[in-house]
Amino acid sequence: MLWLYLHFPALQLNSLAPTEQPRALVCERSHTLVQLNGPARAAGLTPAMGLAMASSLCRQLEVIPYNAELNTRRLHEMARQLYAASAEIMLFEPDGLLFKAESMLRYYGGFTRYWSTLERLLNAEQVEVIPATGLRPANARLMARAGQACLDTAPEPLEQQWQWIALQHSELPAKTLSQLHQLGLFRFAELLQLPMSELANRLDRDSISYLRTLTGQKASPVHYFAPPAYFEHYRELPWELSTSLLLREYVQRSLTSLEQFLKARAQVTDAFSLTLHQHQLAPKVVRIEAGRGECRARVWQRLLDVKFESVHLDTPASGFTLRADPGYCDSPEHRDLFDQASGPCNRAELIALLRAKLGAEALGYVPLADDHRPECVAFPQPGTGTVTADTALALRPSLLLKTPRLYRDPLSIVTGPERITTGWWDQNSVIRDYYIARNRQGAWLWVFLAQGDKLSSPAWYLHGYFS
Amino acid sequence: MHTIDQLLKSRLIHRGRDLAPPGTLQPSGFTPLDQLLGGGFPRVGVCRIRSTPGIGELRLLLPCLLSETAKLSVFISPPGSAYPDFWQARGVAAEQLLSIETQSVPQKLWTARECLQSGCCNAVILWQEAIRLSDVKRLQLAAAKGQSCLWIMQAQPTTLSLPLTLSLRLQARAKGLEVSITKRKGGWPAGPVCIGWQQLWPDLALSSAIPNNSRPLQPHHLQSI
Repeated sequence: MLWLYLHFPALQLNSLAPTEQPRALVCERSHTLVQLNGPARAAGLTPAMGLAMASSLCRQLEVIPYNAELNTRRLHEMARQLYAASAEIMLFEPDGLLFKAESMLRYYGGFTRYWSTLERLLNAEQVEVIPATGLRPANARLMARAGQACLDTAPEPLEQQWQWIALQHSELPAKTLSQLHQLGLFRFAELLQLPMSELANRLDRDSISYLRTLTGQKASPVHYFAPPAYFEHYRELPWELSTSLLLREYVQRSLTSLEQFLKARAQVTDAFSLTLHQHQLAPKVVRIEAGRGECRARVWQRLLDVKFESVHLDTPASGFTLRADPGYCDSPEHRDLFDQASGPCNRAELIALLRAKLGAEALGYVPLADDHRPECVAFPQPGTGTVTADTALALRPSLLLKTPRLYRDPLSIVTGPERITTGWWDQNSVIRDYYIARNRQGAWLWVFLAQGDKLSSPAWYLHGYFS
Repeated sequence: MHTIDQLLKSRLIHRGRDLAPPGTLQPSGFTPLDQLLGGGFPRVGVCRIRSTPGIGELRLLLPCLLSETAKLSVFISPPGSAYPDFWQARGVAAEQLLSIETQSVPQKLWTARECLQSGCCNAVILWQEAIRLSDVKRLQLAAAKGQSCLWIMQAQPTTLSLPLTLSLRLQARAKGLEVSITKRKGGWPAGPVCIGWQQLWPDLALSSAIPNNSRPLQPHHLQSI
């Protein structure tokens, strides 16, 4: 059985923007270097070196705190990307992925083509990686963590190679390691000369079971990775950005990933929410709705640009999370092949664009209500169904004012009255006599007479235009 | 001469002999108006209607709005919201009509531009009094891109000359509407022509029995009813 292990020595560091300056990630608890970039390594720094020594060796060293959670999150993203090329993947948090290469060899027709496909995906992600093959998962992991890149597939060299790895690169506990070093044993080849029963007397149970998985006497447990059903991306920004306009290019990359994610599943989604993480303030959530199923990054970007014009950050943003709504299968829209007049976007796209810029309330829709009182009717939202017009009613105005307006100019009544009354069922009862009237300019108005009380005299109110 | 050449170069003077023929037209739905306009309203362009609100300016455009039911009709900041009972009784479905309410002028113009160039709008009607020359040029480009027509509704007369495809002035008459063409691309001002409402809107036309300038009614008149 052939396995491939990928060790990512600097996952968090690689997700930052590249730099020519020496840069290192430091564990905040132990003050030791964890991940280093090329210039830092060239300056003579090594992993696990103390911070004091590192800064005395390299004066310009840029230090960033190491965050194991971020690293793990990035590893999950890598697994999601590589899942497109390989079926069975196992996660070794925080920095390794194991592939069951054997099952993919027949599909790709050889290990070389399998690896070149993986390599192409890895190059696109721009991460440092140490690949190693092995006959058992533990062997491949040992080789990769020791920094021994190896892409052999023949069983004999693979069985030999791992035995020459130094014991210190293994997962043996520090106490066992020092015991073995005191005995003069430094490599696995030397250790395995001894009979296993003898070793069992000297070493603890965990070390023995580790040795047995390396030699293949014991199978290691396998839990395969399954990609999540939804899309979620978290990105830390290289520096804090104070305007949403600068954020654009970083979000664009995530939108491209979203498009790939959806296209690979032949899915579309209705909306996504973008959470902007701000310092010392609650995160700001921007919701973008397409109004219908959409997967194209170009369309999302347009909506986001329009939305960003009205989004103001109170404090600079340090990162963002992009989470898409659950995707569903797309049913292609019926387009007229010969309709030359149809423009670049369709109705749903236009409504989504207007909603993003002006806000949903500007589109002037209120929920559908079947009511005879003019205040209670309005157009339903597009796509929610249709109201059937009551043609038995007298003529209604084409434009209705939201609130009736006091009208003082002279009027002449043409038709009326038409009484609209009651509404006791929702404590909003009205009794009004409506008239169709004409003013001096010749405008046709829908007016009612409000009966005055003790304080006010009766007055005409304008409620609509017969435009 | 020098200055005339400059003006011609900067396209501020148009020669009568260079008159572009009017683009494609669509019947307005009113025969006397079609005869006056040489076929109907323009299908593409920026038009203006100057009228007092409420005299029947939307009813004039109604046949035009009904011509393409697959496309949207957009109202941008109308003086009131569209009343569904009226529009549906005339065959304009709810999902065909989009009403947008915003008071900011840049947003109104942005919305009009986006709607025009989207190509999915049949007609866009914008209520906006003051409008700049550069904005009208931009709207013309957007209308050409999306093959749609913008109608600007204005109540106040302006002195500013705008590059409009068509400009109409409406005046209320007892029996209907008097339409005159004040400006037309590829044509001359014409009119007025009278459109009678008796057939289409019997409730909204005065019969000859009632004189147009009848005695105005004040609230106290009605109390005795």
